[in-house]
Amino acid sequence: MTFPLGKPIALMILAALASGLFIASRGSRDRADLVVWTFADNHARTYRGDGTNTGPTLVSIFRHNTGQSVDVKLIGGQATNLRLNSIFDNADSITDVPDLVEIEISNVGQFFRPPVSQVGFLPLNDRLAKSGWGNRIVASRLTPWSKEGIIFGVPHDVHPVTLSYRRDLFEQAGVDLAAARTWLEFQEKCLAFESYWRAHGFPRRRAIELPSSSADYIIVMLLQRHLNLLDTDNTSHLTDPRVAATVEFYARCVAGPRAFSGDASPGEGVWIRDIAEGELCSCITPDWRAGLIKNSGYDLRGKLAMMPLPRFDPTDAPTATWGGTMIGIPKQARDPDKSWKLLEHLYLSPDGMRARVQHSGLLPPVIEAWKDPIWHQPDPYFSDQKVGELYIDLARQLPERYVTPFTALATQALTVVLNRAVTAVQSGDDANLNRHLGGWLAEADAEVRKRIDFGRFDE
Amino acid sequence: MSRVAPEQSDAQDERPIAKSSRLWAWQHHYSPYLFVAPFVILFCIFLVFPLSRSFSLSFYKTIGPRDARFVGAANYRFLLTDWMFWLAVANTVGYAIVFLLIQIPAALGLAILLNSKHVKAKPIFRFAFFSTHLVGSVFVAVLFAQLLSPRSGLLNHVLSGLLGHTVEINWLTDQYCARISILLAGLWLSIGYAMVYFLAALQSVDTELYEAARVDGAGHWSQFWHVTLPGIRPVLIFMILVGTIGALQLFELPYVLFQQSPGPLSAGLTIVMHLFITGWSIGDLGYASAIGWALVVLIAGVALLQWLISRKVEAS
Amino acid sequence: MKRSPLLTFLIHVPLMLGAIVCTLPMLWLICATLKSGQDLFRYDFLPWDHLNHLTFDNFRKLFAREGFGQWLINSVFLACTQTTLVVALSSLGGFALAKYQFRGRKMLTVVMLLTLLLPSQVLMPGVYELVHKLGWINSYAAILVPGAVSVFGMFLFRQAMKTVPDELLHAGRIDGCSEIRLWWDICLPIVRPMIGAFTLMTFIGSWNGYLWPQIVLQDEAKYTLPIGLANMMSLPEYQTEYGVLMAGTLLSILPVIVLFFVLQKDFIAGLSSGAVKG
Repeated sequence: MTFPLGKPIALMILAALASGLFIASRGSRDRADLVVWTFADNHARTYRGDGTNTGPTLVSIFRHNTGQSVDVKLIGGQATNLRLNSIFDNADSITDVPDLVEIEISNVGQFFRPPVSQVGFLPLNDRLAKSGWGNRIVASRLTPWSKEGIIFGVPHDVHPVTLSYRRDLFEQAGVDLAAARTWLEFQEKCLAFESYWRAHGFPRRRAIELPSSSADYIIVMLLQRHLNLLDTDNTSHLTDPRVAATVEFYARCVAGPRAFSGDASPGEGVWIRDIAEGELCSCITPDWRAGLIKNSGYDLRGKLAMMPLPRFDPTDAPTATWGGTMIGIPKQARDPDKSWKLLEHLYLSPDGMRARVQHSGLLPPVIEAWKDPIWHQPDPYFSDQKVGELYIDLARQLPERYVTPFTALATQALTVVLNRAVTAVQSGDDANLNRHLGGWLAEADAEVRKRIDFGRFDE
Repeated sequence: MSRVAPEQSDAQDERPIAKSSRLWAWQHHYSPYLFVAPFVILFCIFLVFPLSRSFSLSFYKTIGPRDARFVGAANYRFLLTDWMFWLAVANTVGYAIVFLLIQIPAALGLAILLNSKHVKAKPIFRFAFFSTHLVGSVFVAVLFAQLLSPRSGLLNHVLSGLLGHTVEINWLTDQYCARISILLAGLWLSIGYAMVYFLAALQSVDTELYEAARVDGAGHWSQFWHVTLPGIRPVLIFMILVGTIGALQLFELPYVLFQQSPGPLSAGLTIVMHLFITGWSIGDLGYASAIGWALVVLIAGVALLQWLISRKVEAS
Repeated sequence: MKRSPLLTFLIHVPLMLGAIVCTLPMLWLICATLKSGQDLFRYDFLPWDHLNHLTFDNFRKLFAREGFGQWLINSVFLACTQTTLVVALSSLGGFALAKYQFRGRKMLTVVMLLTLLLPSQVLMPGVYELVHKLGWINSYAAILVPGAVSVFGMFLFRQAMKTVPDELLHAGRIDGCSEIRLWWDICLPIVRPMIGAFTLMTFIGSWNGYLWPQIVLQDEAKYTLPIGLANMMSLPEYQTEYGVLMAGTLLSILPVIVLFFVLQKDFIAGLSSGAVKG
């Protein structure tokens, strides 16, 4: 006990010296020719491989073609935002500006806060037009990444939304779910499904997974009706009567005597288990969610089937979109033309498409890539249904989605309204629900407008 | 225990200081300044500057990069009418109160139990309790999503077993249960950590004092009240203070627990989360700074209150 | 001293319950590292039906990724250096605050308390800007220099140092000890339990430190373990490899556990003999 600071500290000093020497002896690499920031591990794997696969990676192919080295940096979302904002704030900060950046849809709103001329990303309208890609990408997929018509990012995906269900259980109950064309028909069929199973020993079996305290799926339904809570110029549609009607319908799906849904825990794997065990028998599935089911390890082959979303009105789209990533070029990037070339290689080229299919299995937004036979195979998981073709068909009918800095706020306000509706239905006090909803939505609308105005200047 | 400053005791002591060379006197006088110098220098650079930046930022509205306009107290005025802010305050203060009421007694109790001579295999228990602190919040989020799942989660299984009928509580999707879930996760993470500090404090209490008390005929409770508590008082007060501040600044745990969202009906919205979402999802750094400073005022008020109370207790 | 079996039993019950609750997740973690990706969320602990499917694949994939070994060494360096700095400076500063009346002491205490109140998110943009101007972006200086002081530590040691009897210090001065020797030879041994506890806590905090290093470090070769691991995880759309993440989490906990076991006597040492009693 000779060292007063203690043996642990003494040991740490030694360890620090040893590791420090090791680190110092490590050389430092020069900056690669092009730097790409991404936030998702499997995107990074798509671009640069994960050390276990053989064959060329996208990055190595690019180097082979153009002689330029590419460094793919995996950076968490929060750090990306802080660094980007710092870069956009300092005009002379050239050193650590990436050449390409991937942004997730829930994060992109803040970058659209400034006036269009001051958004930190490079407008891509002319490049898309000149290269011809503008016509070859699903048009409705460009809107989340635009502000007032100026496109700031190229989409990574489409994420069309379908409904997946336990075909075996529905068949056993004598219910043909896929025949439901409207949401009301869907509700009737689900109620029939549940009453069958109540009579046959499964009283807890719910027909669908719908969260009772989150408005995410209401947003999906509204998108079907071509309604965004906030348009790209922040016009609010909360008081549109269709919103009240949708919320009322949804509240009656998750609560009250005609409810047929159950909650699942957030977090991966949990809801899949519920589906596999037949506790929840259908769920709303964008393509990435269907992918999760297939990779989950439960043997559900032949037990599942997929259908387009039911609608409210015949003019509604049979699908919506959920989630997504874009890639953009910062205005301060050193050479936007080189950035664009790399962007084309990673996102739009045949090599890029191939790598993406290999690593993520998600439908790309490039229309001609849909001809690839891989999207036209029968899927054993979904009872040999040609799921890819269904998604492609729906991708053509994708409604437009807008993202603004206040979209999250509007969604939160909607959640509060949903909660009030659910409480009313649960307590049986729902005779005038539609009228009440009109009032609550007007309140929510006023609240959202107040915040939008607070965040705005008189231009 | 004497609290007399060295200078004063010099005056009262009769023995002169043997070596009173100039160098010794110099270092005797200036040492405290030297000792705190590193802190003060780093503090001025890395705390004062960003602090003043954020304070001035709270009076601006940032609309884009390089475009900030002075708006005076507009941010603060908006704060008063911002129901999300007040919900966050209610969530945060409620959490802090319940959290501390459970954590401090539980950690202290466990430390006392563990310190008892009846317990063998102390190291194993110590390690078991302490291990929860080793894992990060990311792991906690993944883990608790599994444990708290309504149908297949361990907690509901255990409750079903205890109560005799199937329990399917939506721990993470019901707004009231969600608050309990945050408490559970927070307590699980931090009781072991607090216990270690209390254990160290308990072991610093002079055992002779216990002997003296026992000789005087004091029972266990009396020993606790008159020997243990005063002995660990500085650490106890400190842990309460730091625990309060930590609880009021809660952010990361609910954020990862609810998959980077404020949770069902914002049940998990804490003040710092509101700050974070405002600053980094919406991009309004000015308003976010105002929220931050409102939190500072709140914490300062609470800390001041605690300090006053602790002074009163010390005086008695 | 009679050993009452009832008392022993009563004492052990809450301890056992608590220990089980605390260690259950660790068991879950160990099981998770051995399960294949498909089994991971399907079975609570082990896939009892097909135990032969347990695999070390997750670890294999973990090491195949570039960087894991480097992250480990980086974490060791940062955590050890930062802990040493923090413990040394905090005990020194705490000593000064506890045992001296110097000009500005009150104000310093108040200011320090104020800094505890601030949420770090408020400071981050400002500190980032500062670090950027200093050119420390992507260097360890950006983590070590601001991280060398801990207000928490200063206060903790202030409280602990208050228990050092003034008579001892005075006796030391009479013998001609310089102030720093008083700190080194007299105070530190007395507050040894607190040093131990604080060393451990600081090490863990530094080892698990994620928010700030992630913002500042830009080369993957410089990342620390928590950054490297957390980057593996994203929103559900992005197909996280949870098995690999769990393997990485387990490996990142192991060094701390080893440290704890090897040094626990020193961490939570009893009072050294002599100083106070003698």
